[in-house]
Amino acid sequence: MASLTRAAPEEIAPPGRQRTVFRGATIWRWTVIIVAAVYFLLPLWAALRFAGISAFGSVISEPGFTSSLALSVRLAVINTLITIALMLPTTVYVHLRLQKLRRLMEGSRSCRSSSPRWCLSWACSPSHRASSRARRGCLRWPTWCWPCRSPTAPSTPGCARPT
Amino acid sequence: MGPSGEGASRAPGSLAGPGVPGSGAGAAPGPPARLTATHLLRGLRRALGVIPFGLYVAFFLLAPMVAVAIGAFQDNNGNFTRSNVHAATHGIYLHGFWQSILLSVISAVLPGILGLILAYAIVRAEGGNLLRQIAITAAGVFANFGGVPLAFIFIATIGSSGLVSQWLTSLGFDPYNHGFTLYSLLGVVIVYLYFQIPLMVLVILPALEGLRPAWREAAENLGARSWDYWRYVGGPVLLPSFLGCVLLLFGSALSAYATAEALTNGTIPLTAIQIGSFLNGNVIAGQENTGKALGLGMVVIIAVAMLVYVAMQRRAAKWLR
Amino acid sequence: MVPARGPWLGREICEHILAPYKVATWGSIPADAKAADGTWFADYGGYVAIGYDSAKVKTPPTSFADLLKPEYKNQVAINGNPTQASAAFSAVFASALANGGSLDNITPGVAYFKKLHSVGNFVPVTASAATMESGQTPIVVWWDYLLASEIGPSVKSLKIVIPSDASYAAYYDQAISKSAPHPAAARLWEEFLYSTTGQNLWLQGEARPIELSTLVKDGTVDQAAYKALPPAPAGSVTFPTQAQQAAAENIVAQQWSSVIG
Repeated sequence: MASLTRAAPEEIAPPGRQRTVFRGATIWRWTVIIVAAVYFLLPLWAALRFAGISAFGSVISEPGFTSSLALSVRLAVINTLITIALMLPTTVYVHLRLQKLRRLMEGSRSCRSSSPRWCLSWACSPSHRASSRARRGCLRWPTWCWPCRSPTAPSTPGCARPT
Repeated sequence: MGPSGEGASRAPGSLAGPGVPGSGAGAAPGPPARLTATHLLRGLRRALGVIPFGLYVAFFLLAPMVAVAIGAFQDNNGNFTRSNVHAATHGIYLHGFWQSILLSVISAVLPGILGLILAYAIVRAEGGNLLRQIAITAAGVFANFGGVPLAFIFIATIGSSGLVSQWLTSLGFDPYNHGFTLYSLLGVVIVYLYFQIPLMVLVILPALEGLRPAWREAAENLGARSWDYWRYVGGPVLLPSFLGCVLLLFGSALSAYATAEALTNGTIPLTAIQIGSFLNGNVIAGQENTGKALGLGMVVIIAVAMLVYVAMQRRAAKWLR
Repeated sequence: MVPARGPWLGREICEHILAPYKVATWGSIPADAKAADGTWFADYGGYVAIGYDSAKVKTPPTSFADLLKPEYKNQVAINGNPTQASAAFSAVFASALANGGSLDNITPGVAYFKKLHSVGNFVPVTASAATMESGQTPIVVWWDYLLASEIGPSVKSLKIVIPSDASYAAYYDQAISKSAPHPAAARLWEEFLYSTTGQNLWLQGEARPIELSTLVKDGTVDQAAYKALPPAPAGSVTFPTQAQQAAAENIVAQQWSSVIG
């Protein structure tokens, strides 16, 4: 049976059509990715050109730059540590012992998204254990923000951002 | 049935997670619950674990909301008045609410769809793990971008003297001569996409990876085409996640202030900016309570959005139970 | 000591925290620029002016009416949001005076900016030295002294002109707090600010001191600094009263967000 081979659907197609379908899908995917890359990277490059390369050298010697950068980094680290210390045990606990509170927590998360946001770090939702690939991805995400979610119950981070 | 059947029948159970009965240790079997001291104590002990979170919610969420709600109904001397709420629900402020809701809905649904498409492209592309890693890290960075720096980079790109605008002008087509302007609702939507799409990608990527190839194979074996697969299998599985993220994006767009302020400087009525005018106090002073009434309005909007979300979520996740 | 923008100190919320004091040169301060009981008194300020980068703007604008011309497409900006920033609010007030409005009626000012946007000349970003330097906002409507001191150093080709069709000025006020820990020192400081030396220092900072006319009449003015100021319009300046200011603010708060949407 075809399912025994665990092949991608395109490869089950008859040989003549197989390569065309494969290539069509590939072109579409990479077009989407390239368009997205342009949309996200072009403004950064435009800002770089606007500011000029020399500005980056001089900004470091601006008075107050190192002190404000140090303060920002300190605030971010403390913020992240407190958030992890608060949310990680709570999420695990709620999932293990207080299922009923799960909806409430999601609700409060959505409420928080309508006021100045916090960077949440949620434990990997245990429903991910069923999908090992997703779990591998979850563990490899950048540690400064550990968003993890299940396909059915979106426990999404509202990450802190200057609003 | 072969493995495909097993995969299909395992799908609801594996993805429903805590919805599956008996999976949580919180399920208490045995005799019907009676309000005995033992049960109370057990309940209290269980609740102990969420006290820190409860305190956080109380101090940082409930207390400010209550303060805003109370302030909305007070005048400057602390007496009860309905004039603030009346002002907040008429005229330019009502227009501001509608504009904010319109902007937030567009800035939630559009990046939702675009993010889904992008996430699907990332999942299915052959860059493999490297592409996924880059995408997730980049999404994590861009999802946190916002405020004045974000407005600045877009002004530098498609502003009136931006890079792309000047390049298009040199090709003979000046977008600003043909009605386009960054400093409008359309421009704000374009800028909001920058942090909304990555947030959507972050949410929906694991959900997309949770779609087993086995289901696709099973569907193909049963004669489904691509569209049938998405309509009957992929779509319903993704819908709850999608809805949840759209709600998050809605709230995020509704409350965003600095980006829209930097771009438009109040020339478009948006509730967050109007609240800023009241609280800023440099020109309008002594009317903070009207600002609080506007804030109360925003809370009400979010509450309504959440009710809609809960209703849709119930329908969407019904088949999983 | 409480230096603050214009009519701020006259509001009821401030009156009960100020201690009255009349400096030695009290008589040289115009009557509508001070409180009769001496709780607050104007010090320095300037006019709403049009500053432009002469390297990028080939035809110099001289009035608000000029700014509507098509050659200034996507070039005109003000310093912020008029519902939040006093400088921007004053620009709107000045444009109202130029378009048939008055200190009682600021509506033509908002209508003017609506028109400025519809012809494509208005850029809604907050203008600053950086935006003028980068060419994003070659024309800025701002206070003349702020144009000179904030943008002048980085944009060498900056020219400042006070619009010919509107003269709107505002002054920063001085006041002494009732709970000042060193009230005598505060009073001494006020005396210094209103002495000839103090007033000339404001002039060197490219602002207009309130006693400028007295200084010119007495010949004690710093001539070099005085010549460097953009020529002031003829006639005396009228300041809006508390009531006029409050009414104007309410109108701007209601109408500004309809400029584009």
